[in-house]
This record gives sequence, structure tokens and C-alpha cells, in this order.
Amino acid sequence: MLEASSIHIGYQKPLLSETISGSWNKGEVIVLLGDNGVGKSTFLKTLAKLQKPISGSVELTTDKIGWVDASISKGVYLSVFDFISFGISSTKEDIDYWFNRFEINIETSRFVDELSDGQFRKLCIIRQLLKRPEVLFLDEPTVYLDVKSKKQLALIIQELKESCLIFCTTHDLLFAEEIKTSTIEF
Amino acid sequence: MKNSWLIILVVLLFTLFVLELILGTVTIDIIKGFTEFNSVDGNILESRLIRASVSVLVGASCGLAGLGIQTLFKNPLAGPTTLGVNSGASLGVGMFYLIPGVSMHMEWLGLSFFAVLGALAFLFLLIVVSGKSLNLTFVLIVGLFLSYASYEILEVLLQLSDSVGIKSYVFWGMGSFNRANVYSLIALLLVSVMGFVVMKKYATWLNIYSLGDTELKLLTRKSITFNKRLLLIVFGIWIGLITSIVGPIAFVGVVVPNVLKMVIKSSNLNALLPLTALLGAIMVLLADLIARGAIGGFVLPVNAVLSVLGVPIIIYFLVKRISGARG
Amino acid sequence: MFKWFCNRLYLIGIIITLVNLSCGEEKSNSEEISNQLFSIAEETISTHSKNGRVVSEIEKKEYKRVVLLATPFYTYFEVLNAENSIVGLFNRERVKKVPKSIKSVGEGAHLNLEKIIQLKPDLIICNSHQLEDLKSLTIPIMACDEYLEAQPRGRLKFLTMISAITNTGQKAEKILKDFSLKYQNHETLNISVLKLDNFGDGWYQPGCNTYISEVIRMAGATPVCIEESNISEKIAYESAVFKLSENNVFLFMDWGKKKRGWKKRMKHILELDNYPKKIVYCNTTQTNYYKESALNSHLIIDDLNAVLKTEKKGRFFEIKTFEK
Repeated sequence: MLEASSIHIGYQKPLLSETISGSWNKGEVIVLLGDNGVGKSTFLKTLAKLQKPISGSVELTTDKIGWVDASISKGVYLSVFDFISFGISSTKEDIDYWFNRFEINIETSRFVDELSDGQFRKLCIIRQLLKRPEVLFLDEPTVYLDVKSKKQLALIIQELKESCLIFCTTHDLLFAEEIKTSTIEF
Repeated sequence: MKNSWLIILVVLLFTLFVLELILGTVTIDIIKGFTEFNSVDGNILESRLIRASVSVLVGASCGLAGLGIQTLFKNPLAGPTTLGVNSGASLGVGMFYLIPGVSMHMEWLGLSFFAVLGALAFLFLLIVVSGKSLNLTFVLIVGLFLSYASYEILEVLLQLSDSVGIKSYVFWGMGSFNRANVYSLIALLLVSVMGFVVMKKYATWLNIYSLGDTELKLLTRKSITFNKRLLLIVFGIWIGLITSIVGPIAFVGVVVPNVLKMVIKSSNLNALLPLTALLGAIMVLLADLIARGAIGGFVLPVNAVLSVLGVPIIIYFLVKRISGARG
Repeated sequence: MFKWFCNRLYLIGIIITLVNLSCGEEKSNSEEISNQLFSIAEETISTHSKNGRVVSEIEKKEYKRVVLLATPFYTYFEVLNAENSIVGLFNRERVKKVPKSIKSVGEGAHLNLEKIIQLKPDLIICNSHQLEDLKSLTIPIMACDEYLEAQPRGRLKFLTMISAITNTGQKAEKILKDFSLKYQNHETLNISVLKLDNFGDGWYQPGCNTYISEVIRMAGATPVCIEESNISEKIAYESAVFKLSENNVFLFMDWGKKKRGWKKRMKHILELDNYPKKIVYCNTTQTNYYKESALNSHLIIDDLNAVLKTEKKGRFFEIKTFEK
């Protein structure tokens, strides 16, 4: 489903000296471990085709991609409903289901910049899940989440991996241990 | 809820339109005006009809263009002036009036031609200078500097011009709905319809755009730079034309979208487009009613009325908004 | 960065071109230009811009319902006893003793088109900058920029134009004759008169081909003015200070409605270290200066001459001195 053949990642200069190759499929949860700035996020972007590799190629058989990181913008007048509906056709049942799973109880007419960081992070994850992704990239998903929510997220990831290939970077080793099927160390 | 807003606004717009025809500093017989077209009542009614139509089109256009530019720049206080295109129109008009000989030898081209030319020239410069990547922060800065530059050039021109030119230019700058005629009305209608259709077509794209480039790349296949450039050009032409017909009136473009987004609690362009057009039209129509002296009896410049109407509204909503947001 | 530089260079280029363009077109003219501003033919009256372009053309006949947007022309109607031909007047409040039958059609920057249409005028007389606003009307328009005439004698000639549309030709001829005789030659006074204005955004000095400079010249004094210019031009702070330090008589045309508070209105000058000790003062509103300047410039000129010579208070001007 996702295949990388000897890719060099980076912007103008390669971030890593060696190339990366690999082939991944549904059911896998790959955890990426390493220090800040070694190229975990760049690697994810390259796999998601948000960025071109310097050399090598990426084969991705689906365009149902979920992506969670800190880059999504809150917008000044963006309501919760806007945030989870722009560009996605999500049903009321789906929304209610995920709101329940993440135990957030907010009116959908509220503006997102009124939410706490933790609530907003959960909302970001919900938005990506509403896309019903076949590949899900999670870049530091546990930031701002409390212990309970982390447990919940781990559980959800376990359920999701049946139908989805998941990549995740994290510095939370306990969380990594809970979800991983394999790891890549940088 | 959004539908009920739509109905309220349509009714309000219709009422104001009728009031604009009935009320004025002069009392006329409406029925006679409609039946005897060449009578005094007919002539006055005709001038009111043109003014009302121009107000509606200008208001709707300013609101929509403002909404589009705010979305594009992701800045709620951006507006039609942000691109600097209106300064281009001002510069064009300045050249027409202030350079000795230009208005003499090129009068047949008309004032609007120069205004539109100025606006398009600035738009072209903006697009060229901002380069391949179309960094919008850069566009913003370039737009700002173009405005400054045109202001400075106009200062120089004002120094060199004669008193007739200066008078004509200053009067143009105050903005007036008197100058609109059937032809400018048709031009405005065409460009407004074009603008509305483009915005409607790009509404979903712009919605996702407001969430950031990553989401845009994941969900759409269209080229981001191409779309941004296309929208910039459409908005530029639109604002240039409005400025050339009624002078620099742009305040509506900032107030209306901000107020609406706060009232309907959404940034969804699909819902906002008709509402913005309606509220913009209502605001300018009301301002023109007051400016013509139909309400209150004082005759005032439209720009002044718009600012007096708009500033308290925008401050109220912004304060409410800022105290509501967490950070 | 390079692109930026190119951008700036381009703008500088525009400015230089524009400066050259405008300078090349500048013409000097100290003669009467009212001759060029209008011409009366057998059946038509046409008005022209300074460059000779025809601005408007109307049929030569008596007009009974005139809307007057170029307010200074009112004086000519008045002296010809033809006020009855006027139905609407712009800036009506600023003219004294207007008959009630003449309605206001707007003021300042605002033309009330509806009022104009309602008055059913057969002619509109306006300044050329108002033409754009009147384009949609189908009423004959005569656009004439009377304020361009700097020569006091030249301003009398507009009487001919107004008489041609009010059928008062003989009367006009007589008045013209009488009034031309009223101008006398004054001896040279060896006094230079400086007029400077500051409206808060900088200093303005009149050109040598402006009305006020002509008045000063005809009163026997020498105006300190900008050569070959026919408008009030902005000048630099340094040159304003320099001109004030030279031994000129300073002329202050007070635009205030009353005399009170005149020192406040010239505070920009009194704030300077070397402000003039002696000034010639004129309150334009109370002395009806602008209205008189249309026909009775000789009164203004004679008054200025007398005041400069004798330092006694006149009808328009008076000398004020400050103690240091």
C-alpha cells in the first residue's frame, strides 16, 4: 500500500546520509523514534507526498490520507463545525461518535480559538478520522493530551489499524510501546 | 437559522430599495414618475433608480471582495485596500486630472478608462513582483508600498498641477454616486456577476484553504499558486472597477464579513456569500439614503456616513470577539 | 532585494518623467485670460479651458431658469439686475442678500442633483470640476472656471458673458465702461508684500500670476511670489522662514468668519522666532472680499495702496503691529 524505494529526504540538502527503503501495509503501526530535528517529520511528509524526496520514489496507492500535526490553522472565525466539515462530508452520527470517544462535549457553533489546546488537539485528530483515512500520519499526537486521553487515543489506534496504515512520531515511550507494531529509529 | 437570516436580509434590502426610490430631499409623485418618463418626477425617479442600483451593486461587491481577500490573506482586517489596487485607480485618475495636457488630449478615453488602467497596472505589478511562489505576506507588503508610492507620486502631481486639475481630483476623491450612469451600471453588473460566480466556484476550495496548505494538498489536486493568483486577479479587477465608478469606498469590505462571521458563527463561504452580498448592499443603500439627505435632512458624503455607521459596529464586534477568544 | 531595487527604480523613473512632462507644458501668462476662457459667436457661446479646448457650448439666447453652481458669477447677475433669471444657487448661504425665490442646490462638495432636476433649469453654469457629476443630466451646461482669471480688470469681462444670456447687453456695456475707468495707476511704493499661508500641512505661497499678486502689484507694491505660477504652491519650511526674515510687509488674509481669534489662525507664523513685526490684515468674510473681487477690484487695490502708504485702517485692510 505504501512503498518507499531508496529515498533521500530533506529540503535542498539531505537530512540523513543513508537512504530509506521500505514497504508497509494495513494493520501496521510504525512508530518513529529519535531526537529533535533528525528528520522524522520530513520523512512523514515525504511519505505522504506533501514533499518530494531528493532522490528515490514513493508509491502510495490511496489518496485517503489523514495527517495530524501542529500546522493546521485555527482561523479567526472558524467554528468547530467549520473545522470538522470543510472539505469533508461527515455525518452527524460520525461526529457524535468521535466526540463521545474522545469525551469532548462542546457546542459545534463555538469558535475553535476559544478551545483549550487539549480540546483543539483532539478536534484535529477527529477531523482526520472523519476523512476515514487508509493511511494516517500522526506527528506528535500526544502533545497537550492528558493521561486519560492518551490511553483513549492508544485504544482508538489499536482499533483503527485493522483498516488503516498508521505512522506515528512521539517522544512518549510508554505510548509508543502501547501502539507500535514496528519502529524506525533515527 | 441561516435561511431565516437570508429572508430577513432580502426583505430589508427590498424595503430600503423602495425607500431609496420614494424618499429624497425632493418629494416626487412615484406613479407619475413611472408612467410619464419625461416629466420632472420621471427624471428624478430615473436618477434615484440608478443610484439605488449602483448602491446595491457596489455594496455587494465591496462586501464580497473584502470577504475573499480576508480569506485569501487569512487576516480578518484585510480588505479591498489591502491589495493597493484602489491606489492604482486613484493614481490613474490623478494622472488624468493632474498632468497638464492629459485630460485635454485624452478626454475621449474617459475618466473610468484611466482609473481601470491604473488599477490593472498596479495589479500586474503586484503579481509580477510577488513572483513565482506568490508569498502572500510579500504581496501584502508590496501592496502597501504601492499604496505609499502612489500617494507620493500624487503629492508630486498635486504640486505640478493647476487649480482646475487639483479641484477635479480632490472632488473625485470624496467619492460620489452622482457619476454613475447606465453604462457604468452594466459594467459593474457584469464584473460583479463574474466575481460572484468565481467566488461561488472556489468557495469550498477557500474553505479548506483557511485550514492551511497541508489540508489543501491532501484534499485537492488543484495548484495552490495558480488558484491564489487567479483569485487575486479577479478581486483586483473588481475593486478597480468599483473605485473607478464611485471613488474610493472600501470600508464596507471590512465591516460586513466580520460582522456576519460573528453573527452566524461560521466561516463557511458557501453560506457567507449570499449573506455578505445582501448585507453589503443594505449597508451602502442605507448610507446613500442618509447621504442624500432622505433620512435626517443633512446632505453628507457617502464615505463619511459609511464610516460613522461602520466603525462602532466593527469595534463592538471586535471587542466582543477578543474578549471571547482565549488567545 | 534586487527586485525591490528595480521596483523602486521604476517608480523614480515615473516621477522623473512626470516632472519633465509637466514642466514642459507649463506656460507663462500674465495677460488677461478671460478672453480665452469664453467666446461669443453669432448664435453660440462657448467656454474654453486654459489650453483652448472647448469645454462647453450653448445657444446664445436669454435663459430664464438658470442654476448657478459657480457661485462667484452671482455678482454679475446682481449688478445687471438679472437675479430673477436664477432659480438655484450653489453655496447659497455664503452669499449675502439672496432673494427667497432662489433655492439652494447643495454646498461644499455635494451637488443635490434631485433639487437641480426639480427646478427644471434651462441652463446650468458650473466650474469644470463639477462636469463629471452633471454628465447624466440632459440640461444645457456652461462650464467656466472664472477663478483662473488673475487680472482684476479681466474679471470684469465675465459681465459680457452673463449679459449675453440675460439679454442685458447695453447695461453691461455701460457698466463695463464705468468700471474700467475706476482703475487708476498708483505710484510705485518700494514695498514688497509677502503672503504665506499655513493650513497645518505645510507652507503655501501664491504664484506671480494669481489674483492676489496682481492686486499687490496694481497697488504699487511688489509681491513676493513664485515666478510663472498661477496657483498657491507648497514651499519648503526653510524657504518660508527665509522669506519671513527678509524685510517684507506680511499680508494675512483671514478666512475666519469674525475678526476674533485671528491670532490663533496665524499661529504658525507667530510661533516662529523671526515673525514679522508689522502685518497687513484683511478679514475676507467681514469685508466681503471675495464678492467684491469679481467686480470691484479697484476698491481693493485703492484700499491696499492707501493702507500701505498711510498705515490708516481701510475698508479691506488694516495694519497691525506686534511689540517684541
